[in-house]
Formats: sequence, structure tokens, C-alpha cells
Amino acid sequence: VAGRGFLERSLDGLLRASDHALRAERANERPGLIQRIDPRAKLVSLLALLLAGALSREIAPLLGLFLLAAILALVPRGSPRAGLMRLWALTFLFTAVIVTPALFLTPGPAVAHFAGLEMTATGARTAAFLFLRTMSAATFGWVLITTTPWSSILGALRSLRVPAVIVLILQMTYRYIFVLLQSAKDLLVAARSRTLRKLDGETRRRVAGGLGGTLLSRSIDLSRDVHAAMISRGFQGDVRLLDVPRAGLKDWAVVAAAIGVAATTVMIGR
Amino acid sequence: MHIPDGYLSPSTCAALYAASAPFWAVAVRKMRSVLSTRFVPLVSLFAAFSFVIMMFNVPLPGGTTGHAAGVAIAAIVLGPWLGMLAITIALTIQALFFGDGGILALGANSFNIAIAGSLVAWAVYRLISGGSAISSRRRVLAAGIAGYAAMNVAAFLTAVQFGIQPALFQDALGSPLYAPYPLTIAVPAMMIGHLTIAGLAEGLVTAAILAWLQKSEPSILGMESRSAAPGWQLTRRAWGWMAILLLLTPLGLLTAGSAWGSWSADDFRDPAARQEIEAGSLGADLPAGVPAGIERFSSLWTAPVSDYAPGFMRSEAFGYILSAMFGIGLIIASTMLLRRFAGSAEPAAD
Repeated sequence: VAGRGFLERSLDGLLRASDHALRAERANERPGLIQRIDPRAKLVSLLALLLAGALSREIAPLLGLFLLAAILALVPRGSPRAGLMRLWALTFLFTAVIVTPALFLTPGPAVAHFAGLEMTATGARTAAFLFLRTMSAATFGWVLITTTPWSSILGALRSLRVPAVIVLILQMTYRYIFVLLQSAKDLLVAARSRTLRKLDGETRRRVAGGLGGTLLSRSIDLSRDVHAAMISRGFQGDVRLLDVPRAGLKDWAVVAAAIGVAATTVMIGR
Repeated sequence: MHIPDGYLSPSTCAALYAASAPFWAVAVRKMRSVLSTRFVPLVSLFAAFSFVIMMFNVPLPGGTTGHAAGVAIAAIVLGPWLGMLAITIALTIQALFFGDGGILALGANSFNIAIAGSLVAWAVYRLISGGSAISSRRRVLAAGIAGYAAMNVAAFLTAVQFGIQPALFQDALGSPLYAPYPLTIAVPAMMIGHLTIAGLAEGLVTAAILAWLQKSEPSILGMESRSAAPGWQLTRRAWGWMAILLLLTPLGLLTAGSAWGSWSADDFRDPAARQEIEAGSLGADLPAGVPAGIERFSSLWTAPVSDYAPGFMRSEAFGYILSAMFGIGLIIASTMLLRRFAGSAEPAAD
């Protein structure tokens, strides 16, 4: 039936988010070398490597950093490679759309000609910087997501002095994202199954507003129920979270290695 | 609009984390001490709602579709502080778990979308809706414009952050190290898409949800005015940071010459200063004399605190601190006026 494209496209978006979460959770539950590293060590190492990527001013060290990220993402057994390829393709395409005009617009000496346009050396370097930085940052992020359960990431954030109430909200939000995703999917399927003819623009916008409003109303109702449950279990505003186990020698070695790689990258890329 | 890592320099990212920190501190403190425990699950659910609504395709006039962010409806229902907290949480989960938006750039994304977006949406909504009844059509219009304005302000801030990168960060060969386009390209490129599609999507979704809530759940719309106790008081730590920044203000005096673009007519007359301007402008030729516009307008307005440091002060650094205190005092006074204005615009009973 024509005229219901926005419902289907919205449904696709919701399914993609659920699918991503499912893949990530399956991957990070598998036993593996990176999975066994303390989440705080992984988070600190990730930040050091991201920072090194952002600080480097040369292409060679950035390329080295991207290769390291790719090895960490591809080598472990059971790594969800299809998802990684999709991430790379999306990051590459997005960056390509943004950076292509810069190849020709950045002032500098011409190195090639395409369809009457001059590609400059400075433009090519800028494109290389942006590709390598975005690809390596996305890949390091992917490694963290696919090797660390969300609960462990939250534990690591708490250890890094993020306020307990924020960690609690992050925990609850993550939990209820999936409840609302399911609720939104049900709403969209119900709306789609009741749509028998092409809707005019005004009606489509009213339907979209109704869907958003219903979802918001359900969110607030759910928050009331959750609050009542929290109060009935004795919640008085004090947040207590489970402690993350102490990091071992192996975890400190990982942090030291990551900081070493990051420092070397920055030194070479100065 | 979520900035990925790689487009902003680390110093820009750090500056925007620092700029966001006082707002986050106020929002967390407000939720911890001023409000009741029910706001913990409410903020969580709003963050989850914002996350999900970002995946909805919104039908726009002309047959195209766009995505909303849920920033304006969060600010309208929860108030600006809890709204910005909810959107920051949604952005954090997107960056840390879904890889959408950078981790280093999270401060920038939060500042642009969650903080500036929430404050603008709330201010525009309160300004236009005034004291109208909850069921008034004026509120639907106010919500629509608030959503449109919030998204465009966020896009403009993002464009400015992109646009300053090539001038500030280049390698030895002159290649931009981060976002490659100057302000003259970055601002129109970002704004065309947001003035037409993204802003419209946020405006339409906000207006449509508000209209639906007016009919079906009007009690939700009274929530912010009943619960939002003043949130303008900064925490002690935030005041401490502001004091440190205030004391660091004179650091600018340690650098020689004028800041690029802050030249006075005297700088154009002084040969040494002219050489500095030329060197700082990549060798661009300067006009022979003082530019006519600078000459004409330099005498038009004399600030009450001239050149940031009053002449009667012997110590220039002390003058800077005093000027900064005066400036902050003005901001606080304006904020208190805004609060008084907002407080007087309570919605009328339906």
C-alpha cells in the first residue's frame, strides 16, 4: 500500500538499533583475550588511543593506529566481522561525502585533474587525515563495544569518578531503550496494519505526532511504575552500585602498552 | 548532526567539555537535591524516549522525511536542566554503545544539542506561550518554533566549531588537520540542511507531540511548571571553576600584540603592528591607511570599561579581573531577570 513509507523506514531504524545491540551483546559475552581485560583498563586505553589519533599531525602514525585498531577488531575469534565491514563502509561513505569537495577546494599545489577540476596536495592530505582519524576512532569504539558488556562499561565509568546518579540513569536508560524500542515497533506495526490507502501529508504528520505522543505518554507512565517499584524497595535517593573487581597486573600492562603506543604515535606525528 | 571523532581538534573538544561541565553540574545538583526521587526514572525514560524518537522518520511538507532529536519536547516537559541531562544521557549511550557521535566529541555534541538546544527551546517556548492556557493553540505554535530554533542553534554552533578548525589547525604544508572547510562554507552547508529539513522535522514533531499531549495527557504539560524549582544556582564547585577561569583571564596579557581580528585604528597606524598583522594574515596585503570602516566606527562607541581594563587601574591584570567580574555580574543579572520573567509566565489553569 502506498503512502506508508515513513512508517516502514522508522521501523527499519528501530530494527537496526535492536540488531546492533543484539550483535554487540552476543559478541561481548564470548570468551576472548580482549573480553577478559578489565573494563577500566579498556576504557582508559581507548581514550589514550583516541587522543593519540586526534593529536597526530602526520599520516604514517595515523595509518599505524588504524592498522592496530583493525587488527584488534578482526583478529579475535568470533569477532562479528560483518558488522565491522558495515561500520567501515558507512564511516567511509559518510567521510567521503564530506571530504570529496575538500580535495579540490583546499588551496595548494595541484597534483591531479578530474573532469576539469584540480585536486590539490593539501586537499589530498586533509582527506587522508580525516579518513584515518574517523576510521580508527570508529574501529576502536567498535572494539570496546563488542568486547565489553554495557554493565562493565558503566562500572568503569563509576570508577572514573562519573557521579553514581548519572551511572544509575545510564543503566536505567539503556534498559528502557529496549522496552521503548519494542513499544515503538508495536505502535508502528499497528499503525501500518491499519493504513489501507495513501495518506496525505497532513494526516501522515498527525499520525507521526500521535505515535510520538503515545510513546512519550507510555514513557512517563513507565517512569511512574519504575519509581513506585524503586520506592517500594527502599530507594531514598542514595545510589549504591556494585564495585568493579580490582584490576590485575595484566590489566595494568594493557594500559601501559596503550599509553606507550599513544605516546609513540604522538611523538612521531608531531 | 552528531559530530564523530576526527572532525574537531582535541583542544576544541576539551574546551567544549569544560564549557558543558558547569551546566551538567547544575543539572545533576538540581536533580539530586532540589527535586524528588521520581526524577531519576523520569530522566532515564526521557533519555530513552529521545533515543528512540531519533530513529523515527518524520514526514515533511514536499514529500521528504527527516529525523527529530526530541530535544525541544524534553525541555518543554522537564524544563531546561533535566531536559539537557536527559539528552546528554541519550547522546552518551549513542556514542559509547552505538558508535553514533564521537567519544572525544561528546562534550561538543552535548554542548550544541543538549545544552544550547534545551535552553533555546525552553526560552523560545516560554517567550511565545507566555501565560496562555495549557490547551491553547499558541502553545502548539510555540513548541513548533522552539523545536525549529533549538535544532538550528545547535546546527549553527556545530558549523562554527567545524568552520574554525582549518584556520586554527594546519600541518606544515597548510593542510587542514581536522574539519576542512572554513566558516564561509561550513555555516551555509550545515544551515541549508537544518533550516529546511532537520529544523522542520524537530519543529513538526515537537508541535505534533504537544498537540497530542494537550488532548490526551494535559497533566504532563503542567509538570515542568509545578516541579521546576529554580535551577540557576551554580554549585560551589562550578563557582570555584568560574573563579579560576576569572583569575586566568589576565593570561591573555602575557602574549604580545593584539589578537587576530581585534585590531584598533592605532594598530593600522603603527608600522610594527602592521607587520605583525601581515605576518598573522599569511602575508595578505593590508590597506595603505586605516580602513574607513574602522576609522568611522572606532569613535562611535566607547565601552563603559574601555579595552576591558579601566584606565585608572595601575595593574592591567587587576583591571582584566575587574572587567571579567563586571561581565559575569552582567550575565548573572540578565539571568536573574530572565528567571523572574520566566517565573511570571506560569501557565494559566486550563
